[in-house]
Amino acid sequence: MSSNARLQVLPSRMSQMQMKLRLVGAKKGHSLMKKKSDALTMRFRAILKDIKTNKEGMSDSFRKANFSLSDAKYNAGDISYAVIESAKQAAKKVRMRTDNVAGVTLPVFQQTVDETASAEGFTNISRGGEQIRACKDQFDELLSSLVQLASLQTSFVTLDRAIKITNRRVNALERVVVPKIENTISYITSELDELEREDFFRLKKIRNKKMKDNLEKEKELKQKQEELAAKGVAKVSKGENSLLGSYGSNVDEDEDVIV
Amino acid sequence: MENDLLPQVLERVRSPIDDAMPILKSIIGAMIAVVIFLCVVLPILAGVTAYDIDAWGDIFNGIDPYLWAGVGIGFVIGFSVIGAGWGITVAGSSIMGACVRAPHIKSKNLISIILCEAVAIYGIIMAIILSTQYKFDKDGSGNPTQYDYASSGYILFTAGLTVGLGNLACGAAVGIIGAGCAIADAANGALFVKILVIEIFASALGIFGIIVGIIMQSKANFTNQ
Amino acid sequence: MTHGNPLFYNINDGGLEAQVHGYRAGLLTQHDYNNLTECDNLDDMKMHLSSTDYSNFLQNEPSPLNSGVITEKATEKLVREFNELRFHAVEPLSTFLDFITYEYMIGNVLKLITAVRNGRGALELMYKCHPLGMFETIGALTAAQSIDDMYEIVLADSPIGKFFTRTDKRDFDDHSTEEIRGMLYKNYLETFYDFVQNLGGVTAEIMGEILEFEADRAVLTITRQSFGGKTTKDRRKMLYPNFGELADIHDQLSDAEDDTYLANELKPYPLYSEMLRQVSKQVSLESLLKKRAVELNKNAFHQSFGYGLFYAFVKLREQEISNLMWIAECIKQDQKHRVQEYINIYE
Repeated sequence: MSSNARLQVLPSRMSQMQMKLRLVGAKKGHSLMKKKSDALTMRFRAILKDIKTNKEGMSDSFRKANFSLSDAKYNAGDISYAVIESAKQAAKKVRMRTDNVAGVTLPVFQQTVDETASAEGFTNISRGGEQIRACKDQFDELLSSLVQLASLQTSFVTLDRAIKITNRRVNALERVVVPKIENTISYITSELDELEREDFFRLKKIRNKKMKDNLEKEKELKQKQEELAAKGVAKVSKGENSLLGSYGSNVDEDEDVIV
Repeated sequence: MENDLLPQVLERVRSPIDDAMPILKSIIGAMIAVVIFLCVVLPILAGVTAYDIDAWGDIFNGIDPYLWAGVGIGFVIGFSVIGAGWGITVAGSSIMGACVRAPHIKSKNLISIILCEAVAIYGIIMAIILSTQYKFDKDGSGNPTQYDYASSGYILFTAGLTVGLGNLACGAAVGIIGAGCAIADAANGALFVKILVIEIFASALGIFGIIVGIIMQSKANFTNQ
Repeated sequence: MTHGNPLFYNINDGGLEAQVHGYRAGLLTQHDYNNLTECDNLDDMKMHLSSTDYSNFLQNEPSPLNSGVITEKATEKLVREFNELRFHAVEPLSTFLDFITYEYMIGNVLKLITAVRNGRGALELMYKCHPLGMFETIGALTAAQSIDDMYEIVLADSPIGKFFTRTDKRDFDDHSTEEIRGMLYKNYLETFYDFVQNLGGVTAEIMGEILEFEADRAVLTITRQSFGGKTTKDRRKMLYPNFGELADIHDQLSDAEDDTYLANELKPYPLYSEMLRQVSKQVSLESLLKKRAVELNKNAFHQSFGYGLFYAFVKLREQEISNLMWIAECIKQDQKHRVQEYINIYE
């Protein structure tokens, strides 16, 4: 982005005022965005940390849960058929609610247990029930940590996207919008100055012109007077004449110089 | 309601069936039966209405001593062969079963069969020995007394019975030990010799019977020569 | 009275008894287990097993083995051995061997009952049934639409029909599958116990001990598993087999709601109270009971001229298969530190 890009505006006092207002707005927006991005990043880091610990524990609890299944099989024989047959509807369900961090809505999953659908009856009394129950507990634990992990992961992705967008906005404000507005303002300022100088020059020119005209008039007047004097009428002072003459030569020389 | 559905709820405890009483009852029953047979049935068969102790003499006197001797010889071979056969059945079935998983034991454990077979051989030997005593005094040169004549019959009978029953027990014992021997050998070859010793002791039981039998038959004397 | 008499026993059953003794000698020993637990993968295990009684039972299996295949093949071997015995057996041994299979039949029928209850096709479950528990008409069960149908059409005439008649079939739907299992198992144990007691002799002695323990084991398991009031007192009592050492305190046990109460009630029975005392987080009561059952089954081999060893052999072999599964799982899941928790059968 070229540094002297600017908005297409009519260089006028009004647009300058407008631009200045926009600049203030952009700066304010920038600082707010920056704060939001910081807040999100902080949350992001916290979630990252959680995910890390959670994932580290995950492999262990997976192993444990699978092993407790082996344990149950060792004690109770093949239970898979009974589990499959007795599972009619899900006893555990995941409900989603939202959490708000600095204006970003994060999905949070929550596990709800439907006690009536739980296949508790199965583990009731037969041999190996103790191990089956232990196995069930292990898998329950695993499931809840999985749900938690899923919730964290989703928040992670959402936050990641939000942070990227925010950062992009901050950067855009910082690197594009604000310089553009500043450029525009300086452009407007310079244009306005130019106009002023032009006006000044024009005024000067007019004054010179008028002065020349006055001189000529005076000359004519003098000629007339000389003619009149010749006719012997009046005398004109010499000093005044020389002063006018020096001024007029100066102006002629410096006609194009901007003061 | 539940009681109707589950009738066995009423009988509370199932204790193991007691083996002792039935056995005791059968022993006492057998004793009573023998006494009744000897004291009631036999006298009636012998035509005695009132119990008379002297009638016993008549009954036994009526039986020919040669019959006693022949039955004795029959007993000795019969019981011995039953004992041997029983032993071979018992040992053989176990050896066959054990051979399924450990075929190497079959030739070693033939010794159990042979020991059982030896019991039958004892019986044959004894039967031959007894039958050499089974002689007839055709021309009356020996002139055995009536007493010798009768006692020889009883001696051969009891000698045969002794050896026969001895061999029966011996054969069964050898067979049962042989069965254990085969199973033990299949599980652990080192046990074979140890159990074989036990088996030989069992086998020796038959020899005791034979020794006694031989001594007894030497007293028999049908011809007084 | 002739049963268990050394003079007559061998005539019919001697060969099979010796054969079972031979099978028993084929059970894995401590040495084999040590080798197996040292394995790094299942192919190593296969190699070690090939030097034991199992020889090359996994020969035709493709290389990535899993514990399921090992269990399945080992069970096939057990079934083969058992059927060999069963086909040669004559009365009353044949009935006795049938009794062993009834336990598996009950398991299979219950699987199918569960399937029918949930309105699923029972056909695919047929493949999951335990091969020892198959009976001729079991296939017909898959055609039944309801449990009453099942009873009327098939179960009443099946070998295990006699266990069903004792419960009221009309009440099936009031009970959970687990309760039906409990009732059937109770009836099974009682019938079996009566049968062996009628046989008398060594069989009654050995099997009596084993079955009484099994009954006590069922009582203890049911009691402990139903802590927390999920099974009512009456129902609990209905599931207790009516014999065994604990028969005298069934009433008290059906009241038990926690371990302290249970321990108090078990005080007169040193064996069980000692077991209960040993229970901790690492040691479950079930494993202690199982160890005791293995011990009893081992003792069955110490006496000849009884049927106890036929039952004991099947149970020990089954335990061995479980052990193999455990070791295979430990190796596969890289949980070597728990591999020693299998139940050793022979030192």
